[in-house]
Amino acid sequence: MKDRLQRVLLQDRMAGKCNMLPMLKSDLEGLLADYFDLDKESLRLEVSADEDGSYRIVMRARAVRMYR
Amino acid sequence: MGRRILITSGKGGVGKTTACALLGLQLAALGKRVVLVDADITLNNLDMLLGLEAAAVYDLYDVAEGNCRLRQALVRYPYIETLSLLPSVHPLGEVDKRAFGEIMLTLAETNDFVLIDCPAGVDGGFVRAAGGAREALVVTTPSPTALRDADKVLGLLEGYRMEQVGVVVNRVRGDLVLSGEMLSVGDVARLLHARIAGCLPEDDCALAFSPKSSADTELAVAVRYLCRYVLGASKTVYDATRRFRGLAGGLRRLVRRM
Repeated sequence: MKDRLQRVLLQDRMAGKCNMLPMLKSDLEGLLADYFDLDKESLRLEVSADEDGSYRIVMRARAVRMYR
Repeated sequence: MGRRILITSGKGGVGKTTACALLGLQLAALGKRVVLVDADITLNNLDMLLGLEAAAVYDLYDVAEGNCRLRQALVRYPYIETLSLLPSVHPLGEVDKRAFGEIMLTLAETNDFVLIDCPAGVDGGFVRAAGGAREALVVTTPSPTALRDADKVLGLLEGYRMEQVGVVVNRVRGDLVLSGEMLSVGDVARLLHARIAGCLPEDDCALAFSPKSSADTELAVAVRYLCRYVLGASKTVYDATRRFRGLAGGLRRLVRRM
């Protein structure tokens, strides 16, 4: 029961965070664009929840060049 | 300025109103000035729990509408002079969120504690009640459905930037926790990633509890632990399994099974 409940709670929490991802992605694009000529189509953002309640945030992006 | 504490749960029927009343009674018994606010406007029960259902003349709605002064709507608890109730008796009255917040602030100016009994759910009633509080106690039971709803409420409360949020685990059966049939308070803390403020054992006589009662029940002991936590005097949580440990405890578990 404990494991099942933990899975349900994690799913509920991630579902609640889904609305946040597009906003976070947009904010990160803006920030990175100050330093890189960013290939915006290449930006990938993943947020997943671990069982201990922490979150794993993985971002991948490609830039054509870096501004000096 | 007094402390404004929201007593909420998400799921209905977990003992939120009872926990609110018990905590208020204990705080007032220690000499604190306490107001219990029945923010559950359509399904109010705090007045009945305290035996004051016939005493209310005005209520929260009347205060918000300006039909009476705030002190006229407060019903004093006859057995403890520092405890009052701001009831809700108009079944269909709507109270504006801003007006509610102002009333809570006014109450906090002259009281040590304002305990806000929140309606079940997370809709307008919850939003109104949460907006009037600075701290929250989320009441849950160890059941999966109650925990799921409590988790959602904890997530929503993050948006209110409360000064303190704690979880009260209600209706804990110590015998079932020891046999692995019920989640423990520790399990609840790990699942919800939340601080446990209190643990209240299952007690069939909970609704009959009052300071007039001379019985020193396990529930009364647990409420005192919760009270000490709220006052910041102790972080110790009542252990609902303690009376079911050892030889005598084993016999108690056996009797409960019969």
